[in-house]
Amino acid sequence: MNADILSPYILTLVTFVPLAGALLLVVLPRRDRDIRIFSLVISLLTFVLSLHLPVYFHREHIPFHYEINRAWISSPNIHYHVGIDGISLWLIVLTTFLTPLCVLISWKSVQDRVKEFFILLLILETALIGVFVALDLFLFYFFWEATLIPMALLIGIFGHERKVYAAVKFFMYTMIASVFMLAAILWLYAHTGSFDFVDIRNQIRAGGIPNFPGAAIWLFLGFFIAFAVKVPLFPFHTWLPDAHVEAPTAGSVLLAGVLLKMGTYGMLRFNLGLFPDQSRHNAPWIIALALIGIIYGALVAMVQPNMKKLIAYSSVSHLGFVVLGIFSFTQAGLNGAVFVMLAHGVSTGALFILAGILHERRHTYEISEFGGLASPMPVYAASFLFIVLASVGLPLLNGFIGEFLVLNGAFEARAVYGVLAATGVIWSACYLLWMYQRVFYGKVTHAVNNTLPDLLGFEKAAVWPCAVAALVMGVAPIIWLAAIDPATQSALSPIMQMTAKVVGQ
Amino acid sequence: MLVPLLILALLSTVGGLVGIHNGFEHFLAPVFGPEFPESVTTGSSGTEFVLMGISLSFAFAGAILAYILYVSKPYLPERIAENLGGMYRAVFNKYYVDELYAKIFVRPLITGSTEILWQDIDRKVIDNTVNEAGDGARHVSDEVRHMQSGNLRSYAGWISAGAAILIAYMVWLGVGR
Repeated sequence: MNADILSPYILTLVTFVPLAGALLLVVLPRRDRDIRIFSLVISLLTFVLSLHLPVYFHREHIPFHYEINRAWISSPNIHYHVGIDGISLWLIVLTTFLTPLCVLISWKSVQDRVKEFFILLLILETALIGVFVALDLFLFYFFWEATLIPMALLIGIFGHERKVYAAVKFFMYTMIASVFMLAAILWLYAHTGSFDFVDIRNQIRAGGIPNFPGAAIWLFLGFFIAFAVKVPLFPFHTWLPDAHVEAPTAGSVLLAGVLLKMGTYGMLRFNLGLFPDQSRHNAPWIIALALIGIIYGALVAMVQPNMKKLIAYSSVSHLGFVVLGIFSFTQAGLNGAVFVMLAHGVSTGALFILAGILHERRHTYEISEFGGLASPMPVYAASFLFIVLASVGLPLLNGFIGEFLVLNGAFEARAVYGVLAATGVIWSACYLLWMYQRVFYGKVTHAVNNTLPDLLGFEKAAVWPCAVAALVMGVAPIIWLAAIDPATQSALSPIMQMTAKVVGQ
Repeated sequence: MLVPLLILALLSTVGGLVGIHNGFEHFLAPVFGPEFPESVTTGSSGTEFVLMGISLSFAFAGAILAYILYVSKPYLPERIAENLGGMYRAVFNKYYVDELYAKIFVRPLITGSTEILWQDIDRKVIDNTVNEAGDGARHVSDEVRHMQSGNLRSYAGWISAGAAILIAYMVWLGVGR
């Protein structure tokens, strides 16, 4: 059978299978075990379906592959327009890869309102995938905001002590920032008569939009502020540690693994795609913020007494690398940025899973509550070390490839960017290995820790796929970069042409 | 522990013997090719043996000293340590390099990150600004909501006040002139 016949519908399938699963869950009886198994099956099915995307992906489909473009609402002119390129391709697979792991890790830890939990998780998956496939700005905004609701509920209902505070803060902060993007989208619609990304981009390039030059900077900033808060770029990051510390493990995994990448994906797709001119003009201060984020995030991560907060601040640092790579406007930098997004999704997702496993046993994330765990939990300790090394950027593991490419691009753009960012690699070794030492090495300092059980079967099933992915991505990055490279090349070409024009004058 | 050491000792003997008469010199020549400049060899094989003898005699002297200090006269090290005093302690503590490093780099970095970056900048400045913005919005709304009292007469008052402002604005704009 030729599975390629699925190609015309595959994006719709991958996006909406989780939602269909969630709707079925609504009518399923409240038998917790069945609900868990059903959610696992649905999320695995989505993952298998999403593997169709890389398998049948052709680089020649420029600019977008698997496109579907149907009229949705005639007035205003909104289309169901979806399609992917090499950038969104792997972000979708990352989402569908992490969701089954989230189901597994919630198997035992979620005991109350099990049905609601998995319904929200599956709705969240649909919204996340929708963000990456949407090519209609209205559709994009729809999915973008749709991610907020299930995530805020996951934090607010299933979180820890200050869950409501964290949920409200997360919701309000990112929502208010997104409104600026909505204003920019509406301006574009008012002046182009279209919500279609490709259409608007062509009109902007042709230069026929009235008042565009004067408005461009505000439009750029409108999109940028929404993305910068989501990334989060320094100094818009304070919602993140709160949200992470309070969120249930599955929420943290998807928050760090995928939700943050919506911001950097948006910068790459919309800020660079629609406003190359403004992107270039504003790059210096954005890069400055990214560099501050890299170093500041790492230093603050280093002194966190709480394991989850430490990982949250480390995300600020790693995402700084992504923003730096994007605004370095070099091929290596952009490829590295996309690769760091994926690598960070896998390794930080795994770190949150591992932290959650410890929380299951001790109901705390405080580093000082642990120590010497390597003796009672050897398999857990080894798995943790593997992921820590991946996150630190050890060669042959995934963190190294992305960071190396970003640093390469940053050096190319300006040597001082590369030098400052390279210190981030050292800091990340500092905070992660120091944390590892305090948690796992030495003598067991709290007697309760002596009897902690090692990794259970379902926990291994959640952690080890991440470890395998980290290794494969580190050894054979070309599998990913082969699709990423042409996409970043076409994202970069208008900026290159502009630079050539400026230099030519 | 002894067996691995013996293996390593044997291997290092072989490794050293290979170097006699520059037997190893051209080993990497095929890798670097002819354009790699030839290293200049000075000194005869006589110098080679003299140097070998000196380093070997140092090694043997060390071994003999260790035998005296730790096997035949084990009371000696303690007495030497007592006589040397401060110098012994400095060497024992690796010249306090670790302590200096901790004092100059590690501790300032950690206290600086904790107190200035995390507590002051992150919590007191950035996060407080965010939370104050939220609280401010809530307080303003709290005041404004008193307008919606359900009291129709006050609504009528608000409507006429609004109308008055609107008319004043239109007059100022000069509508209908």
